[in-house]
Order: sequence, then structure tokens, then C-alpha cells
Amino acid sequence: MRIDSLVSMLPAELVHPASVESLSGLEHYIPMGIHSMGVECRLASVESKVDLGISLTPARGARESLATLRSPRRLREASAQDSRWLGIKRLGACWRSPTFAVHRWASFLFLEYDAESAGKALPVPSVFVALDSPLGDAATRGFPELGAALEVVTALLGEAADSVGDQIVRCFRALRGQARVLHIAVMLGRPEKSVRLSVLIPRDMVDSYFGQVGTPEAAEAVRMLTTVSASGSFHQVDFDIGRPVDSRVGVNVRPQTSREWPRLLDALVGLGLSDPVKAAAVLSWPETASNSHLRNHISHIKLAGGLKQRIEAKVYLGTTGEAITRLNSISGK
Amino acid sequence: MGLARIVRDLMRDRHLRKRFNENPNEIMGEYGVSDADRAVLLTMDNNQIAAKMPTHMQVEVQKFKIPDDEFRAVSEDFFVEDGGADPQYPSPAPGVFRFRPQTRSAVVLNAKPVGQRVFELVVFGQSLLDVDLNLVRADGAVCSRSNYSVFGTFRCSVLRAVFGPPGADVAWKGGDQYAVTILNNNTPPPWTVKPGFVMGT
Repeated sequence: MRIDSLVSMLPAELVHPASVESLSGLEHYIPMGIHSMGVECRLASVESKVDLGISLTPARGARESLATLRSPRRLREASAQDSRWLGIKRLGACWRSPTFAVHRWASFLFLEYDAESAGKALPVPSVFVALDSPLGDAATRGFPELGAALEVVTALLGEAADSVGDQIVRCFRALRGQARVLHIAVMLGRPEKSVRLSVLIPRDMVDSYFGQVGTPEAAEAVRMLTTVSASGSFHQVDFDIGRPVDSRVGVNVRPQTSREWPRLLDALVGLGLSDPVKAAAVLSWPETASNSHLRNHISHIKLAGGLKQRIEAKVYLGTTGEAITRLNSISGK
Repeated sequence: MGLARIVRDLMRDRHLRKRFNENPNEIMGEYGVSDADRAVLLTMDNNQIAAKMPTHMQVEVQKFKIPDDEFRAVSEDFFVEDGGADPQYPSPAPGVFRFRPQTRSAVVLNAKPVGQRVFELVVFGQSLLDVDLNLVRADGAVCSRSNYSVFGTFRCSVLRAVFGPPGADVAWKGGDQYAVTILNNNTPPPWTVKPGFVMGT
């Protein structure tokens, strides 16, 4: 199975045929070690962009794959020519080596190829690293995963990492209770190469957290976005680190059971955040697996925005299964 | 005093480190470590811990490093068996991967003296916060529980408890069905892991 086979399962209402074509070319730039694939689709009627995401896991050999970038051939060439791919290779080497914290605390990596990147001669993905963390209260568990986060930005940004290191430390040290950083990302696929954190935070700690990291406006934005869709006792909030932390945030939303997706999507349609045809197409995704070896799932919805900004709703659709493993063998050629 | 002793022994004894990694509270209890010192030790920060040590130990503590790969906080096991807890992204959906054992022999357990007819149940899961574990017979009787501990990491948590016969019973009955129930983040209702535990004959 190839990427275009996977992407072609997507409902036409969500993915424009031209996007499918450009995403197909990415196959030559996807490392081995794939656990799952996914796409990010905009739910507003006027938006048709789609991004591709690939999760890479140690169990599938992703550490070795990223550390060497031997295949596919074009990827091998890219890592010799492009500093961003070289950074990804450096990160792979750290992830492979037990002497680095990222080896111990990074559960898996996620590469996101922006739609814009797919059309370029040399596509470069943004890199999301899923961090593990000790159990327990932030005050007593320590933050060994912070070392991993700093290694990630150093590997991917080189000297430029110095400008965000203090801010990253502050964002970790401001965590309280059961709050934790779930991901650190470096948006290599974008011109500004910003650093993003995804934080799982108890609802009643949002104000104090963003107050402490210096951007109380972000807490306001979280409040605004979470009124759109009620969530549990924790929020998962994405934000970009800069000077200061960006007040535009993303809130990830996923119902507790798959039966609740229709109600959530209906609510987004009612608020004008989703096209009704697209919402219906999203609901059909789990049944569109092209064969019995694939399992399609609706991963989550992200609501992004800041104060006095338009709210953007995006849906993330995933695919896992045997076919993904076979894709690894294709990439390995 | 307790802190210095446990730190000294942890630096010298990899078996103790393994036990500590699995159940730090139990080990710190054995050494009589005070609550304040426990908080320091659990930072696992060499400098913070060294500052609490007698002078002659401080340099050794500052330089001490756990041998590479002695602990693997992230194991390949954190992925789900037979589905059930995907997706992992963006946040790991709270869930249980598996529990072991799935059955025990009532005859073997009942051959032990009353009070010792117990077995250990281990549950693996993810995104478990302030979690409670119970074993409940089909009629609602709850098994006695001891030595309950939670360790591991956010993405690969391990719950471990020793269970004895349910309610007022002093022996196990072969063929009884039990639900493994988990209350996560103090938020009812508790989950029931399916299929459950079956007491064999």
C-alpha cells in the first residue's frame, strides 16, 4: 500500500484531489518505522488544505531509521543537503543512544508534512516528540523529560535552540499537580521554525499556569475555546514558545467514547466552525477502510485561536494496521 | 540519617535500585525516610540530594549516574494489545493494555493456610492518574487487597496489588468470575476490564 492509497480513502468532501496528488509525492521522503498515519483536515467550508502525519515508534525500528536516514534514497540525499533533515538525523541518533534522555523519555515521534511543504522540491516535516513522564505530583516527581525536550530542540535547531531553552525550562517548572508536557515540537516545515509545547493541564490550573509562564491572555483563549466544547477535568493545550509565549493556543478535543462524535460535530456545525457536509464526511471515516487490515479512526479535533481571533477547527483522522507495516517495507527499498 | 543510608545503598546495589524503581515508597519506608527527605530523593536530582548528604558523600552523590539502560522508562510494551487504548496521539487515551495473571488455580491457592491464600495481580495501562484497582466477584463481593502500588510512567503505568478471597470468604471457589475494576482520576464510574479474571479449579 502506498500513501496515495491511504489518502484516497479520505472522503472527497474533506480532501481536494489536488491535495491528494501533492501528498502522494511525499512517499519518497518518509522514513521507515511507521506505526500509524493520519491527516489533518480543516473543517471550515472554505478550507481544503490537508496535512499528512506519520507516527514513528521504536517498536517499528524508527530509532535506527531516523539515525541513519538510509532510505528511501531521496531522504538519504536530503539529509546530506539540508540542515533541517540533518537535524532530524541528529535527533534520531540521540533517540537511538541510551546516553541521551530522549532515548528514555520519548515514546514516539510524529512527523507532520504541511500541505505547503508537500508541493516543494524538498519537503521537510515538522517534528513532534511524544514525551513520557514519571507518575505523581509535579512537585515531587521531578522533570527528567525536560532534559529530553532540550535535547530535541538542540538536535533540530542547533545554536538557535539557545534562544528558547530558558522559556522551555520555565514552561516545565511552572507545571503543578498532575500537569505534564505531552509533546514538544519543532515546526521545521514552517519558515519561522517555532517550538511548540502540548501540555496536559488540570482545568483549574490553566490561569495560574499561563500567568506563571508570562502569557495570561493564553488562559483567556483557552477559556474561550473550551466554551465551544466542554471537556473533562483536564485540558490539552498547544502553544508556541517565543518571547513571550504566544497567546494563540490550540485545544485538543476528543469525546470519551466514539458514540459522542456526532454530538460534538453537530455542535461545531451549529457554531459555524464546521461545514455540515464535512462533518458528515468525518463521521463516515471509520467505515471507509479499504480493506480488513486497516483500522480507521477519528483521532481528535483541534480548536485553535486567540482573543479576538477567528476560531479554526481541524480534524485529525488516523489509520493503523497491517498495511502500514507493509508501507515500511516499501519505504525501505 | 535514613536518607543518607538509602542513598548510599542505592548507589551500590542495582537490585535495590530495581526494587526502588518499582515501589519507591516501600523502600523509603524500610529506611525510615522522612516525608521531607522523600520529596528530595524523588527529585532524582543529584545536586539536590547531595546537599542533604554528609560532607564525605556529597561528591560521590553529585557524580553518581545510573548505568545506561538499567531502566527503560519507555518500553515497547506501552502499545496496546488487541487495540483498546489507541490513539496514542495527541494524548494517550486513558486505558488498560492488559492484566496478568488472567486465571489462578483455586486448589493451589486454597492449599495454603487461611490468610495466605492470596495472589498478585499486575495491570498495565496508560494515562492513569490517582488510580484505584479492585477485583470484584460477579455478585459484587470485593476481594481483600493489600500491598497496592502504582509505578512506572504516564505512558506505561503498572498497578500491582495482592488479592485475597472476596468478602468474608476464607477460600477461593473455582469457576467464579471476577471483574478487574479501575477508578481513574477519582472519577466514577470505575472501568471494567474485559474479559475479566476467572478463578480456575
